[in-house]
Amino acid sequence: MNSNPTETRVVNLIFILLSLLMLAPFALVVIISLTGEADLIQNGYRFVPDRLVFTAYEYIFKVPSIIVRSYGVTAAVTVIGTVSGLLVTAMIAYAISRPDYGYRRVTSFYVFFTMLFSGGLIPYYILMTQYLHLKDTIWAMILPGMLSAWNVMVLKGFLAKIPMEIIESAKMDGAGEWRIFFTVVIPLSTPALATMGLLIAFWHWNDWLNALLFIDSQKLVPLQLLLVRMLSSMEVITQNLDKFGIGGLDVSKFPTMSVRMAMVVLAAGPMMVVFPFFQRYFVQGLTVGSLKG
Amino acid sequence: MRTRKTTTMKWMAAAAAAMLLATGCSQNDNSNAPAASPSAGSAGSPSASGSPSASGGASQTGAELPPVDLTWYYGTSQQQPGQQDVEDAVNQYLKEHTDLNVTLHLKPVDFGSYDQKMNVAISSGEPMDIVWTTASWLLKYNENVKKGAFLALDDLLPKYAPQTFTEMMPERFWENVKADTDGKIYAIPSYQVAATAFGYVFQKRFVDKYNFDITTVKKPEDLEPFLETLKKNEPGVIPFAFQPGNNGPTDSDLKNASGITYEASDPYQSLVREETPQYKAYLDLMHDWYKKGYIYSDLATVKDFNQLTAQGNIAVMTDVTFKPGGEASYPPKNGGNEVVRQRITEPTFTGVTTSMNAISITSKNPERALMLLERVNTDKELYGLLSYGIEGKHYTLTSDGLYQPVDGSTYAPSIDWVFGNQFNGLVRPGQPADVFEQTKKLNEEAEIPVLNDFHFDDSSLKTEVAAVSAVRAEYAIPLETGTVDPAVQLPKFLSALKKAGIDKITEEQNKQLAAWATKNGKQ
Repeated sequence: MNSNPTETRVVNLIFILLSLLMLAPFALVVIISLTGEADLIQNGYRFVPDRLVFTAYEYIFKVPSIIVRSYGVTAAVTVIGTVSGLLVTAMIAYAISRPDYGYRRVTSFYVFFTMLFSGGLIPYYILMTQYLHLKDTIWAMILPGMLSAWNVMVLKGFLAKIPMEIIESAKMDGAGEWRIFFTVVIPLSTPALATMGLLIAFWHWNDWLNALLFIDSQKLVPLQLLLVRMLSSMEVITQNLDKFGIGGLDVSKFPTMSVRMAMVVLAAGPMMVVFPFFQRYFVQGLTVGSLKG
Repeated sequence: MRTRKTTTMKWMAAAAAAMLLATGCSQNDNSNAPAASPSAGSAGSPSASGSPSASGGASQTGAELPPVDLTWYYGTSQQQPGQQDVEDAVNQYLKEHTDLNVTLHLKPVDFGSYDQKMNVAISSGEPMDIVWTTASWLLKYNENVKKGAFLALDDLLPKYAPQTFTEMMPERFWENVKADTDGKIYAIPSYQVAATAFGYVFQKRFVDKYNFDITTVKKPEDLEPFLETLKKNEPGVIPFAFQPGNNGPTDSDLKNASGITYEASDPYQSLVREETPQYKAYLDLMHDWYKKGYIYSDLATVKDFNQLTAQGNIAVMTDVTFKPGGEASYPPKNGGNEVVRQRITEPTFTGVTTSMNAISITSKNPERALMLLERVNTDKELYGLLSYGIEGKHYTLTSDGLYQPVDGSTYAPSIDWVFGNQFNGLVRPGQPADVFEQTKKLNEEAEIPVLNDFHFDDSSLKTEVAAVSAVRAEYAIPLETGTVDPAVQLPKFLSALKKAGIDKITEEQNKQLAAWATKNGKQ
């Protein structure tokens, strides 16, 4: 431990600057979303706008059905995906962490193998649409993120630290495998599970590629895809306006910069609120192995 | 023992992976394989399997057609909240007013993700019926024809879409739709503007204020007096700016068609545009203007030109398409300022392939898909439903019969040119009432460049072509916006082009041009 005050101050200063560097872009996004379009055109992006207006949010919520529905889809996918994903991940990780499981190596390798090799995008698409028939269903967004080999490996590392004696004593007391898993192993590994749950939840919340590929119906469009569409289409459109038929396209009817930024805030917002609640576990989870060893 | 087990596992896993790969590839070629599909509702159709030519049974007019489901994938500007209402209305219309017996499933995909989504769907042999494609923009036509994504329509068109084939547009325009690879027709164009000219756009308030006669502008140099006046008297106004790259022709004698630059007097001699004295003279002019402050100083780095125009203080811009009635599209994106335009080149035929609808090779009912497209191209009411939504709910007609979306309309995608013949559509406020007649006239009178049907085969020069276009991307914009001094930069540009292999390309172009000219009895 170094208690030299100047040194501490310098270190603190470095970290304050680093944090500011990370906070500034997001603060700017929030501010742009609250700046009037006319001010944006006149003055460009500014950290301190002349006045704050809520027109961008009013515009988005003028037809609330789309965004509310998207929130619903994203929330449903995230909740179902996280709970079921966590359960499946924990179960397989627990099984391969038990030294008395005979096919431990084979199963581990089977999981590990998928980290090295994958079928690629087209076979994946064929599997999803033609064999599993998941096109245009909510499961197309839930199932692909259900089990990540990486998560299994990490969680296996955590679970392997649970002393075999605890499990054996539970068995002595007459508990079956299911009971051991749910009443002994899961409560013991809450920090690890919370960490894993947060990662899985983030993945589901931020995933838009699966929706882009598999979702046609407007009723199942998640928030992030809505955002991606808004941002990327604008670019494609402005570069190709000359191809837009006799009347052209009236770009003034399109989401303005402040509306696009308001969408970013709405899409990122809930996760930023959720994160601090998990943070306690997150820190514990990261160090859980070393503490209990 | 253990090692042997692991090895076995490895082999099994490898075999499994190989099988996955194999399935993926074979799906590509085997288009009839899909067991079930979104359009599985067509199970009752006798033509469910087999090639289109073999299943002529569906064509018997008069006899009742079996019900089929069709999917239509197309690009859209923005997802519309009223999409489902429109789809229902379209299906009701199809049911009540046509005997096609089609249930249509509209699948709009936003332009931004259209390529990504459709490329995966096409590569995996997904069952689809109608697929929107364009010549040079999204889901490129010739590339996908080469991949075998679309069905050749030559034999089917006269039978199932006769009116579209013979009446929609002048028959010679179909030449333009023929694919590079085998000269067959793989798509139905959405007939719209097919010719472009180049000219300048002036804000009306300045033209009126300084009494500038825009008809005196015949070449770029003629703008100079007006730009000078603006610079002197209108502080805060940008005299001249344009979307970087949209400079227009550098000289009226220097033509460009099918990727070949040539002197109007000798179309069979390919030139390097950058080496011509005309190009040098044009760059000198632009740099002179830039130094005098006529050109927006940051133009070379402008990414989103619309954001710049939104401020409404650019006095003169370029217009690279010069669509009839195009003036109406400026005020909304130009701070509400009205404009006048002056053309400096004659209209040239640029093709009808900007927006087309193809039939997927995986379609189980290509005949019916064609019949539907025929209907869309000939039935104004059906076309109106797809393009503008339901009258009274999504739009109203003004007293002059102009299109007016209702306030906060839940269906106004502005993509009538995606669905079909745009001349069946509605005129927008601000456009001249005879805009369609003007456009048709423009299309038909436009000069078709001698080289219009020439396609340069660059397959032997892929590296050089890529290198040259990279060099152009690096040097052209700063030079053409006048930002850098051509006396310094142009020689560098030229030597970089030489290093990239431009001479090889020109040589090959000339060889192919000569062969093409002889073959077609020209010269």
